[in-house]
Formats: sequence, C-alpha cells, structure tokens
Amino acid sequence: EIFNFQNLLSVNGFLFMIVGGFLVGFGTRYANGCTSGHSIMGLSNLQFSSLVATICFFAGGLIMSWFIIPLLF
Amino acid sequence: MKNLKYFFVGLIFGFILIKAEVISWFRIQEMFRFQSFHMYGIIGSAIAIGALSIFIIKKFNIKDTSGNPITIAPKELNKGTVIGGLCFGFGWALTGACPGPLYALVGSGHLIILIVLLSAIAGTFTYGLLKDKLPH
Repeated sequence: EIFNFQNLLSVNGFLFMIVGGFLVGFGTRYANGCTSGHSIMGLSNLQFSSLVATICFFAGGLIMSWFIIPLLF
Repeated sequence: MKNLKYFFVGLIFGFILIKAEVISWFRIQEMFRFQSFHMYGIIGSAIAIGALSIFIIKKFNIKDTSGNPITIAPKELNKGTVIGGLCFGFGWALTGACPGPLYALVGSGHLIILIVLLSAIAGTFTYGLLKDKLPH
C-alpha cells in the first residue's frame, strides 16, 4: 500500500499525496467538474465541453503516468 | 429529513465505487498504461447507461419528485476547461483518485487520505482566490 503515514514523510509520498491532492482540487474547480460531472454526466448529456474536459483529464493523466512519474520516481 | 434521499444515493455511490475498485490507485495507473480494460469498462458502461437514461428522460419529459421538468444545466467550455482539465489529469494520475473516491477511501479506513482531501480542498480554495487572475 502506498498510502500510509510513513510514506507521507518521504519526499515521494509527499509529492504524490499533497501535490496530487492539490491538483485534483484545483483542476476540478478550474474545469468546472471532475470525471463524474464532465466525463459521465456531461458525455451522457452529449455536451461538447465535457468531451474536451474528458480529453484533457486523460491527456493530463497520460502525460503524468508515462513521462513525469517515471522521471521523478 | 428530506435530504435523507441524498444520503442514500451517496451511500450507494460510495459502495459501488469501492466494490468496483474505482478507488484503487493501481487501477487508475493500469488505465493510463493501457494494461487493463477495467476502468474503461466502468466509465464506458456508466456513460452508456447515463446517456440512455437522459435520452429516456428527455423523450418522455419525465418529471422529478416535485413535478418539475428535469433540466440539466449545460457546462460552458472555456480555457479553464482545458487548463483545469490538464491539472486535474495530473493530480488524478498522482493520487489515483477523483474527489468522490477520496471520500470513499477515507470511509474505507485509509485515514491518510484525509491529507489528500485537505490538500484538494486547499486546491479548490486557492482556485477561489486566484479565479479572477486566471485565464478563462
């Protein structure tokens, strides 16, 4: 399990949890929705704005997973 | 007391999130590395059912429990959608959780996630502070 109190004290854990959490909160408000609001509800309602949002969510996730996480950790 | 229905909907949602392993960091990483169909199946089937439900609601003009027609407020598209979406995506890959799963994780006993949650709330608060200075 990555998420425990010991890991919070290591730099890796800190970055993961606090920076990650901050980005989730900030990004959700900035994009006016998260995966529930945009990806599921918005796409079900056939909104274009939600398609753009979902693509960006995914792009951000891909960039982080493929490039930044391997680089930093 | 009339808000009890929201409590039950939330209860079911949290339960489903946990049962479907949506809250697992590893599942989210799997999704981004294309190593598993799991998350795509969940999100895909959710959208399919949602789209069908909305289609039926609109076609038959179904009213809500108070008799009002159901309207879904559209979300606007602006630069914030793109930039915020990217930010959220970064955070999503890092934490492996969306806002909803964060609460479900705390509920399922991972108290450390309270830190992530507080950080997320700090993020939304910061957005509120910086809102007027950010490109939209």
